[in-house]
Amino acid sequence: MMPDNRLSAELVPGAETTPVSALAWHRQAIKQRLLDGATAAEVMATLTEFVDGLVRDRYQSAMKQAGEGAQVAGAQHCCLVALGGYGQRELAPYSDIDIMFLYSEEAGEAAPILFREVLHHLWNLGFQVGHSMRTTKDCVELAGQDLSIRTAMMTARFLAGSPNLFQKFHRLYAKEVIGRGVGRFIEQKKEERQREYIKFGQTIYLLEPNVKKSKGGLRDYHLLRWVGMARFQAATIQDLADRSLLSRQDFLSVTEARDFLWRVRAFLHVGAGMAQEILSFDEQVRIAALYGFEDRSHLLGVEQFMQQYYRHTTGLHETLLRFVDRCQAASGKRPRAVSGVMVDGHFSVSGRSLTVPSELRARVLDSPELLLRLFELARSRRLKIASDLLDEIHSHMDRVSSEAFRTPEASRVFLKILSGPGAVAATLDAMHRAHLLEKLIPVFAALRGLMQFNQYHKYTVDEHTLLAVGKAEALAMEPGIMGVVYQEIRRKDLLHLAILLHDLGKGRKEDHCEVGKVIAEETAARLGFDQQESRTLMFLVHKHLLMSHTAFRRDPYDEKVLLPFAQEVVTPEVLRMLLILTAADIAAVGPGVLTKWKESLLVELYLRTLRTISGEQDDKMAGPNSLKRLTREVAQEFKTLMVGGLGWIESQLDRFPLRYLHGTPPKRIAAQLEAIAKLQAGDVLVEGNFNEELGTCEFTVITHDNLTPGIFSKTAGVMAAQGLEIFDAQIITRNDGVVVNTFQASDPDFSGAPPVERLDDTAETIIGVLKGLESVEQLRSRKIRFSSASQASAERHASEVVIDNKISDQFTVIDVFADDTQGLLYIITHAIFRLGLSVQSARISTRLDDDIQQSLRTGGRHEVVDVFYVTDQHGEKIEDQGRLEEIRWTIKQDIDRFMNPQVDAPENVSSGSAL
Amino acid sequence: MKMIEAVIKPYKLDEVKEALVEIGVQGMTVTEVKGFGRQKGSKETYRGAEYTTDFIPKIKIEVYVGDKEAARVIETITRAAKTGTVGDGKIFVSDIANVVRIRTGEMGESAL
Repeated sequence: MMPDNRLSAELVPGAETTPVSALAWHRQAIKQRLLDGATAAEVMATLTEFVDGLVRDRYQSAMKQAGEGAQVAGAQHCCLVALGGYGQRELAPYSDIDIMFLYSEEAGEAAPILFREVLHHLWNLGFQVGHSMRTTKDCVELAGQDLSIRTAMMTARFLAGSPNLFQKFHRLYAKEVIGRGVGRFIEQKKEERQREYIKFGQTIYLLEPNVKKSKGGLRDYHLLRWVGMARFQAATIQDLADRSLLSRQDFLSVTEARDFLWRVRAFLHVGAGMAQEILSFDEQVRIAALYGFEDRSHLLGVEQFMQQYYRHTTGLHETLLRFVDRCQAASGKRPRAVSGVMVDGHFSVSGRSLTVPSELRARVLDSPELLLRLFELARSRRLKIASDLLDEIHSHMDRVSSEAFRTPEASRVFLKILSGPGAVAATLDAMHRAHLLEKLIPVFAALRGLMQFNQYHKYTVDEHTLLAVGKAEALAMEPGIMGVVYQEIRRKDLLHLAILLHDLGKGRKEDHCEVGKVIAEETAARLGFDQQESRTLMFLVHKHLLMSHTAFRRDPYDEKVLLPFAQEVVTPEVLRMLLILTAADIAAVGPGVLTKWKESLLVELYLRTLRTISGEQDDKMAGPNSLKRLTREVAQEFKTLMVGGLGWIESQLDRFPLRYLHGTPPKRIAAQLEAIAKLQAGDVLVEGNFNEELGTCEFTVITHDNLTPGIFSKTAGVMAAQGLEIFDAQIITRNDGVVVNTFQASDPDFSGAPPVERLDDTAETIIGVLKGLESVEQLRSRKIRFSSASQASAERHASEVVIDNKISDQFTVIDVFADDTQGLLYIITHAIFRLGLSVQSARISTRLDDDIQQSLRTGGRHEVVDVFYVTDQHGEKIEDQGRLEEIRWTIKQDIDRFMNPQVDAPENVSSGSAL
Repeated sequence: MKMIEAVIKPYKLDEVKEALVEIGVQGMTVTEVKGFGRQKGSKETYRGAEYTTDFIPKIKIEVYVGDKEAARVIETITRAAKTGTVGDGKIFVSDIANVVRIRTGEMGESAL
């Protein structure tokens, strides 16, 4: 300290203001100004000016103290230069100060003395200082060798001393450094940033991001500016925009993101009283409140704040990627587009790159179909769409309505993209970034960067869903069951779409599964799905948590858990999709969340459910203990003690398939065993009851399977002729040939219980037909009401027959989708019978549309799926492809004839409007 | 002080946790584990390919309590985790020499 110096306030003993207190006061004022709504740019400019003043004052006083020689040296042969962020006037409240002392040989010994003074002063004030002392020659040499020095010098700014020396440095730097090796410079800066991404988080969607260094952070803005400076000598991004090197929209997204991040950083600094740049949970909550975000019932203030944060960082990061790509392309030796091969009339492929020639661009941009074909082409051939084209699509999308994308062709191509195989997630991601995905699924726009503020999710909703699609694709590569199951899924487009939609219901007040169901319905309508596709999609989205809840929280060995789950899932195809959706959803929550442990629980549930659905034996569930237990329960229900006692009951039960044992109450089993005990060869026992609880008529047919062929179909025929509507049937053929078929039907002629005579009449008629006293055809002509197609309705769904030979090792499985029409079951079973097949098991009339809205739309008519497990006469599964096709075709033709007697062409399903 | 480790069926976790919270247990550690005991792994066939599950997924919970509470905790876990079938799991009890609460440096039972 030099008491004779009166220029600096700190040196006046007892003075109230010292530089230290002035700085503290200044920072306090900055905090207040920020709270009052000042922009970060304003406070950074003020702080920079203040620090500039401190540095200049100190330099002046140091010159004076050092004597006359030093004064000359300081004014003519030395200068102080601000570098980096400080050079750019972007000092945040607690930023480091990057300063360079430039000198020439003539300065002599004065140079280190002067510099030391300034440096010590800054240290005393508590600044972190990056400092260097160089000649102009050093500068050029070092900038050539060291990437960060070269970069820091790009924003060099004169502070004090000799302006001429600074000019000399500046000219030299511009001549020797800036224009040299630009391509390599950009490449190196990119690599440097890549290393930072690895260190500070590979994703933008970190829960606690670093506002400067994480992906999408301020460093991305810096990189954009550096690259712009190097490539185009643009001093600022304003300059880039003015020269149309950056589109208006990109310029806005960069500046908005920058201003937002600057302000958040300023709040972080003043909050911590240091250069804190990690946006921790606590800070997020605090800053969200400062920004005025309030908690709403379904969305916390902090989630709204972070959604904005991620929107800005995503926008910034994506603009950066596109800009750098463009700068690197601009440096290419010669444009190679000339050698492009035209594909599909509009697209040009050269190497791995895909673009659209400029003369065709306007046409492609204005055509949703062509745009989608572009992405499909990129997907199927694994090409990279040129970044300038993506830029154009991105800015064009803001002017296009989502309605324009609502065409059958656009839907067709979109589903093709979703089908894959391969690169589905990557393509969807590119479409999302080009703002094109939200034209097909409008809700995607609102979910951009929506955060889920909990410890469990690591990504925002949009990122999570896109990632989940990728995880599903990755599961396909896995050895073991998951991979096989993925391969087996026929409709990969439906699967991927369901994954894409599964969480889109988030961010609203209502349960996200319910909202998701509505979104799925809307999307299905947009894409022109038929009833069945739409229902599958809605089910998968609505119930996307069902399988994980069942697998992790319930006992998969408990039939009370398994059977309801199987009933909800209905078909193996849906079960397969649900398994993959569930696994992919868990995997996309964060790294390491889908453990082998969780996978094995899911697979366990999958295998058990599959067996239940396909009606195959499950020896584990039929463990000796549970059979003994059931035997005791059944025994208690007998009115009289059975001959043979428990042993006889157990041997009888052992002959039944498990689904019978699990699904039938002991009381009814007892009654049926009593009937079986009395059954003579050639006998048919039919019992008709009214089930008060269900309000249905229930018919049980007990006989031997060698009585007559087609027992099932004949019974169904009689019931249809009687005017009954069958909605459930259980077909049981025991291994000793005893048949126990149970039918649930409603009787539209009676509300409530029908008279006993009516039940008995039906039972007698069934017995008559099965014993061959009358044929169903005779009955048909006797009973007028079996005239079927008189009920033709304009709302009729197309029927569909699907054969699945993969579900079961023992059976061929036939799924029939059709409107629930009286007599339909007879038609189907009769066709199966005529084909010489034997129904081993069936699941009838599983209603697919369980909600009222749906059935109102279809005029009270339900579309159902009937599932039949069949074998040929020798009890073998049908393997011959030609034979399978014949089966499918015959059943479909019979149904179509029945539904539309006028139309003979089997594949032409008339809407009935000709009537 | 006792360390009580219990290996239980995964879907029993919620029940066990609730039962322990009810009797005043303050905390527990949960790990997803795989293993086998008397309930051996099994072989599944899927599309003709064999899929072996040598190790069965289980949940391991660890609870640290004072000597007086140990019996009650063991009894509670047993009751909540029991289904009466093979594979319900086991409980292991061992003595703990000392416990330190890192934040305060407290030791012994008061640190539990």
